[in-house]
Amino acid sequence: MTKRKVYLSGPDRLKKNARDLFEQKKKLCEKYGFILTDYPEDLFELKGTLEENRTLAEKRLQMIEDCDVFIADVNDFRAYVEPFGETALEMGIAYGYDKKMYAYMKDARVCSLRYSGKKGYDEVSKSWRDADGIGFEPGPVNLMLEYSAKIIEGDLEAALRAAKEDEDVH
Amino acid sequence: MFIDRNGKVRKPVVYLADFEMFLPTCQETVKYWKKVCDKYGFIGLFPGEGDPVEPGEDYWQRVFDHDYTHMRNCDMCIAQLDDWRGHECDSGTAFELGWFIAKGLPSYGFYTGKTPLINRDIEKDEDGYDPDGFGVEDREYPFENMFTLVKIASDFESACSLARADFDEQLIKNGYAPYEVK
Repeated sequence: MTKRKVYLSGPDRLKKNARDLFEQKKKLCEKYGFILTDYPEDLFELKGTLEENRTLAEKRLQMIEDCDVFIADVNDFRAYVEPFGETALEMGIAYGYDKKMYAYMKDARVCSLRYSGKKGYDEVSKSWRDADGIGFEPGPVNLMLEYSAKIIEGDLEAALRAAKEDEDVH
Repeated sequence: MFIDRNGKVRKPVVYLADFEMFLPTCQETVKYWKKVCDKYGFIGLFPGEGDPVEPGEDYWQRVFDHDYTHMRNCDMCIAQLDDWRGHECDSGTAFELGWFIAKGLPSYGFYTGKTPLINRDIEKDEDGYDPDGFGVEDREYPFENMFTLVKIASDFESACSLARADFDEQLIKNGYAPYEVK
């Protein structure tokens, strides 16, 4: 059986040790019978021109189209109860390409419970609201993300395990 | 006006991807956006229009299906990419925009000020890493890499103007007169 190709989406590419992290993830994918898509070297660069930036994005778009399984890290990123914006964008792309999608997060409680800012319970709407009176999404992530992917509470390995189990069933 | 995939010249329907539904100013803002759309020869469609009202266990699934149907009925997307509860855009908005990219449909976004990411108010050390160890990209764009697949404007009307220019180019190339902005 041909090994299925996995595309990993998430902010780890922005870390100082991103290359090492991706090597570790590559091995983890292999452990579960998947192949991690080859990444362009400049994926890990923080600096570049707009032209280089666009070329890289086009390559990654093609990588998503070519993958079999899409796995996203949707842990909170520089915001309250919001994942990395680029990952949300890539999830939309993957959904548009009809990919099998998984999203993992350490804490998959609903947004209102996970929110660490000031909040209050609104008796009229029977829901939690933040200090600005703004309500929360009903699930652990935005509705569009929640209903397009299988949400896994845990880490990448947990998501790979779930993907492997689904592959075995089919 | 634009030329659709069937070669027909008509007004494009714009999916207004946004987080306004969470805000008290929603109706006012959407009314303004629709007016601007009309000015540029577009029909604005707000995702919340006709949202399911009947409660039930599958309510949120029905809301997802409803919004997704709206997306499939649109010709292009203009997304509100301003910060939402921190330094990231609303993830639902970004998701919707991504879907339009995958479908090869015109995709635009607006970010107030259009500031390059490196100049945004994100706490970082001298090497450009935030307190969680994530680097801030310095690649001549207001967002991270994949957003370069989207044309970014500084406000909603500027995004409409960008889209209008792209469609006019298409119209002229095919022997039609450009649309006269009202």
